[in-house]
Amino acid sequence: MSDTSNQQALLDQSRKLLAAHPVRGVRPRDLARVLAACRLRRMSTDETLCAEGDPGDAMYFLLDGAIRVTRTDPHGRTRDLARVESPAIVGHMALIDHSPRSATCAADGRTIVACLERKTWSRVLHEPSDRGTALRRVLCASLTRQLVGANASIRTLIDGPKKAAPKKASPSNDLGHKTSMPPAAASASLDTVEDFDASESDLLRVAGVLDGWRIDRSSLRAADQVEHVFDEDQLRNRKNRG
Amino acid sequence: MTEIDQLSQLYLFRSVPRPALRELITLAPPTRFGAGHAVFEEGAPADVALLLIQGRLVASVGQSSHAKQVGDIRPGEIVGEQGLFVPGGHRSARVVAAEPSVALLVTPELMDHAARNPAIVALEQHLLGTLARRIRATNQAIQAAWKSDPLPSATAEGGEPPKRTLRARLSALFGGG
Repeated sequence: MSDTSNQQALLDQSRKLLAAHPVRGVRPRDLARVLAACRLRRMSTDETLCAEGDPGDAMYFLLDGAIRVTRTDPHGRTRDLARVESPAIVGHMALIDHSPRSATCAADGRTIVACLERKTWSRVLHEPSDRGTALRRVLCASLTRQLVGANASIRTLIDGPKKAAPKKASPSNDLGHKTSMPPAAASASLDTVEDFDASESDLLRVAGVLDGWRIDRSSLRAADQVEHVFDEDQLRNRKNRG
Repeated sequence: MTEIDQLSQLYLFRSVPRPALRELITLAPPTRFGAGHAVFEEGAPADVALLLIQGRLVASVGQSSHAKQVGDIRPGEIVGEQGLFVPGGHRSARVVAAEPSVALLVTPELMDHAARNPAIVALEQHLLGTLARRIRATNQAIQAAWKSDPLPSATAEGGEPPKRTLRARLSALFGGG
């Protein structure tokens, strides 16, 4: 493939990624420069992309095909978490916070993945350049969606499906990974909120949203990032101020 | 102490040169809020983030009589960042100045105009770390709720006190219910 056609292919892939996961202030040509720094990997069915518990050595842009995501639940059982279809971005959490892989990913059919290795990722992330900005913002947007989606799901589990119904529709409702999961209690129709309780499947679903393996379209709503949870960063800032 | 001094003392700007902070302040002059001033209203469009330089903000959800405080924001912390990256969002909480406060209003336009400014680069990197920590903390809380009891039985048999449901455990961890 010539350089020109290769550049065009990267630009097309970037357009697809940004169409599926819109990010403010990121142009396709800048994301294409990030993709140009990736290693292309063609995978066959059931080939493992990353394994739960392994150190994170790369993040992945899923360009074509799909991956199956499984993880071990707190009781030691392997559970199906999601089937992620392209275009999607996965595996970035382990790079950002140096955590081990939270799930196992395997190709579901012939799949093409662009792998951004940790060393390159770190270099681009710190660049005051257009591609550095693109990478940082794509990651910020992805993490924001993960947190917003999970928080909305948790509110639904706590408040019950009817009480926690989104107040306002948002364009974000239609964004995110194309995934499939068994229906969960949180989206079920119940006569009274009191009848409702969360299930293991609900928690698994929320955990999947949090880790970026799936976006929960049923309960995702646009929301601000005022957190209901303990934040280590707050403590550190406060400690620094004495 | 100048505003640049205040900014340079924030952890996220510890490595940012003063000229870059000066440019940031020129492009986004700090805004002052009196005590009690509503900075964000729940349900309003989320189109700007706020970096607190001085003072304290509190966030609450729900109507006035049932409002529940869900967090507070201290200098060096960011609130409302969703509007910077994901279009079309709305505020999920009301944010009020608990005391006289000074903040930078960070807009998508500022982020674009000063995208290569080291202060903006530092802000984006700081946000990545903050979001990742929040995600891990939330995940750990969910795991804790999952593992803490045998799974749930909303109604107990034989007149026994009902077991604590999963929903109640989540409520204890995250509030609400």
